[in-house]
Amino acid sequence: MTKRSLLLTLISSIMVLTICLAGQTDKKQTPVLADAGAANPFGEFRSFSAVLNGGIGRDHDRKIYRSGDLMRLDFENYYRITDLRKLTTQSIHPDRCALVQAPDAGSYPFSAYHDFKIGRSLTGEKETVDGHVCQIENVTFTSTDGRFVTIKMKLWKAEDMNGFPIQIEAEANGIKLTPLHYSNVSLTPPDPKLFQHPAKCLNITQGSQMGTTKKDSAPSRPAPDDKTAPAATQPPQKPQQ
Amino acid sequence: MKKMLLVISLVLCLSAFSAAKDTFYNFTLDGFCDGMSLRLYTPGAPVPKILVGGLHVLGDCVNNFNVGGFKHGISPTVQYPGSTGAVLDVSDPLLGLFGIDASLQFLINTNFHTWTIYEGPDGVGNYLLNEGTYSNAAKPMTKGVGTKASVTR
Repeated sequence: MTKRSLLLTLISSIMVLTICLAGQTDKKQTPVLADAGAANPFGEFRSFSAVLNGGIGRDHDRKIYRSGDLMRLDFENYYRITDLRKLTTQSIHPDRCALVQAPDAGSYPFSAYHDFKIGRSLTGEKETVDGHVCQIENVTFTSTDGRFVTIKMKLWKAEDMNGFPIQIEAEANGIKLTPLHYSNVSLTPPDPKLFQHPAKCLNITQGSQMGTTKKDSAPSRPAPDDKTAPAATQPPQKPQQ
Repeated sequence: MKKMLLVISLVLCLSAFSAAKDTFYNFTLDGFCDGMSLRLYTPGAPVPKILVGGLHVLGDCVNNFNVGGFKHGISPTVQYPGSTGAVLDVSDPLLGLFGIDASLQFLINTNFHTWTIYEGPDGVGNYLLNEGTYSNAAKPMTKGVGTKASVTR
């Protein structure tokens, strides 16, 4: 085999490999909102604000706002906005911003199971939660990608809030998740300004970071949360069985 | 001549790996009670210095938790805002020990002194749990100034 044919073989191999890898990248699918079975129960509430306790982030009095596909979560000195469709999170600090390629834990379950098959059934039972009479609905999310993941949820849907699920119990493949509880729910659309980017973050959606952070500079410190009881008395809570 | 150069290069590389000293990181997570005490090391040639072992110190403000992982490059789009380059990627058993069936993964950028935590709670997704900066700490580490643990938000 001559040097020339060796070189040609090498170039051909690289081209084939490149094409294969490109094909794999193209297979990435954009989530589709509740396109199989029943409608996603969390898609019904596209504008609201509430206070979240519990959930997979074990949040404590977390203020959240939803406007369309965006959900804002307030932290001590910054906020995050999760795109519920793209499953990305804008993290907006006083001196810097960034786009993180993952949804915030507090956006669950509104950001989850978009491409799952959904089954819903009202149980006919009613319970009162926080003074709200609630209908109870069982919801099952089943993966459609062959992974056999099943998520079962029990929703307490407040009758006086158009059925907003103020309490949610969930289990993934039989393992219970930390229950979610929403209070101070308002179905009034939140102020659009809450979802606007500061000027310094205008190109945040392109994935670039803006701000003043420099390598080995002293980053700003979040203020300690003096309102919270010592965590020694508040370890992560095991879901109630 | 070429072969000799190759052998010398190989020997030099292997020597460099074997001579790499451990690097230790001790820091508290700013605003929280907990911190990390990590060792970046190589077990010897031909493994590069990318292994990480250590403790999530006072992970629940009381107890220490064993962690382990690797140093590797990763996209800045999964790091604390403004951070780029390699991270110490360590898994933490804390949630499991509290009976919560979920993964817990720390991405620690030692150049920018930042960290992010991801949680996989349901066999489907991986969620941004928390993020922040850290400050170097003396050893033995004392409790951070925060009153809650980084995994409790």
